[in-house]
Amino acid sequence: MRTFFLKITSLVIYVVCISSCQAQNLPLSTALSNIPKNAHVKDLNNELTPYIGTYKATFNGNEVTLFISKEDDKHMYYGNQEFYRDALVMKYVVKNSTGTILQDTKNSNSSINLVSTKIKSDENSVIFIYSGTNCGVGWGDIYLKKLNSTQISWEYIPDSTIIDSSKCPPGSDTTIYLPETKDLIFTKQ
Amino acid sequence: MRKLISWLAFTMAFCLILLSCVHDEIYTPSDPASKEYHSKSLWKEDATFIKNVMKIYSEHESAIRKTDGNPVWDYAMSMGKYDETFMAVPIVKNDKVINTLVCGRFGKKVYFRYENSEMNNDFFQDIMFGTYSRYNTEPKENSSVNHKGIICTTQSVSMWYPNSETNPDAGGHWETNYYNNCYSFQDYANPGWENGGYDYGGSNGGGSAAPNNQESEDPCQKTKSIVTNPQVKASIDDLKTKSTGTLENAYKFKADGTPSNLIVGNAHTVNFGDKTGYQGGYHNHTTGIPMLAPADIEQLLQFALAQGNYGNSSAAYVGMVAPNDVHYIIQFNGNYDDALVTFSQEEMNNLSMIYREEASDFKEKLLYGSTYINTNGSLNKLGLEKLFYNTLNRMGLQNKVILQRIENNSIQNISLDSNNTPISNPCS
Repeated sequence: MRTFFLKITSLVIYVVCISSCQAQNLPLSTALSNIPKNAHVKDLNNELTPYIGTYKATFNGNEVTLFISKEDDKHMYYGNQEFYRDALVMKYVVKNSTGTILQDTKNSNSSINLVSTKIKSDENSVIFIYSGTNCGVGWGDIYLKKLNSTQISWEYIPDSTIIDSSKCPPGSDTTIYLPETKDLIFTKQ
Repeated sequence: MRKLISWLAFTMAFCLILLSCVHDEIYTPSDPASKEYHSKSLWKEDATFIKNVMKIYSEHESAIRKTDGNPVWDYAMSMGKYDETFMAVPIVKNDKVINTLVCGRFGKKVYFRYENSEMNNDFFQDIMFGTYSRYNTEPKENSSVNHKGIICTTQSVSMWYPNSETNPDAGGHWETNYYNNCYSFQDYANPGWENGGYDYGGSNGGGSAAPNNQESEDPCQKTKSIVTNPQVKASIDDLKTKSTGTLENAYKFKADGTPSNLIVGNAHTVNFGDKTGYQGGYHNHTTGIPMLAPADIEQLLQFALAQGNYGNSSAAYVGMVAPNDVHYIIQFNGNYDDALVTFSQEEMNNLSMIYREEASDFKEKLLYGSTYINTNGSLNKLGLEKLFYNTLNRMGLQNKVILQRIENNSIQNISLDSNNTPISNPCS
């Protein structure tokens, strides 16, 4: 009898331990302020996957190619706040009309980031935060709306920033190459 | 012939009367014994301070007076200060400026000092007794604070001396005179002036405000004096016009409101450049979130540091105007050491990313309903101000920065209530 109770107790402790040690999974819609440290924000309904792919559009004579991939449990580090989130990661290459590469974040060790934060299921769209080009110029929000299986609509709203010569050396290329526009259609390749 | 002589005599008499009237209006100092103050300065002066100093002088004249000349108060100058802290007055004897007396307020006490400067004497001498027919005032120049905490202020005026008083346009020459006063902020911390310690009962004398001791002044008054300064206002209006364009632009402003040249940036970015000699700056946003972002707050710290170790760090400010009449200003509310906070590029990137994501969250109806958004889905005032204060908190600058909203020419102080919700209180 005593052995039986010992076994039951051990089992309960084991189950409690396993469940408590399990990482906390939260939906993508969770507000940033409600994400605890080291929590996992998951794409529970697999809504990010349809955006994966390579897309192209032409804007003001430049060819813009987007490379969108999905990264599970991407480590998000915001200083005092860090957690893991399933996210889309966007890289891009912008070429001018003669084929000269103006900016390439796919094939270079670029610090320019374009990462999704939330899905807007009711609008069939996903929100990306753009760190901006060099020196953070053009930091802003990008909205991708899925129109059908091969097309997405693009909107980019850049924000203003004051740069400082101590952090942004004179001569830095601060031109924003991404299309600053709304309703630009990208086609899946 | 008799008619001609009569006519000439009449004309000469008329001219003499006219000339004497003009002379009285421009040059004649007031009766030194007069208790009335009627400014004849070429600049706008701090009349309240001058009148209070006149009263103190009259009460303690025997102790303060060092020469047998008299102060001519109507020509006293406050050198662009209007906070009851400083004035200089010429001492005149037999129509000659023989010295200048300056008076500074430190907290609730005023102190006097004779300058014994020939240059300053000449400056007042020409203003009061020169036979000039017209003049040009130059903007006041402030030197940067040196390592001993001394800042010098120079006021200059150019006067046109005609060859003929009766025909000032027939020819003549310009003369420029300078008044120079070097302020030591170390003096202010421990006034070592030669005479004084007299109680000051002016509007600032009874309170705790003591600008010369670098204590903070009323944020409402401070912003009011900034945004109503004609030069600053004109520059802000210019930026408002430009906020509907594509380029970001900026102005820096000196303490007296003198603006820098327009700083033309690029699309969505501008660089204030060197801030030495400038108290604050304004820039315009064209798109995006119409609020002061982490990089703007960092700029405020730099303006505070640019006031120097012994300068008035809390005079620093950064303003922003955006489309739809959005206008915010932040003031630094700390001392030099408080402004020595630095942020690495990685920290700034983190602050910027979290700022964006929080702004995005605020716009999400599923999360916050319509609390933080306008009917068109953009962030409303509450959302913008909440975003700002959350950012300030993350930067560890709570209580070191004051946020104000300017709308319909009124200034709103934005603060947090006990629930950390931004609330606004209008300045009176």
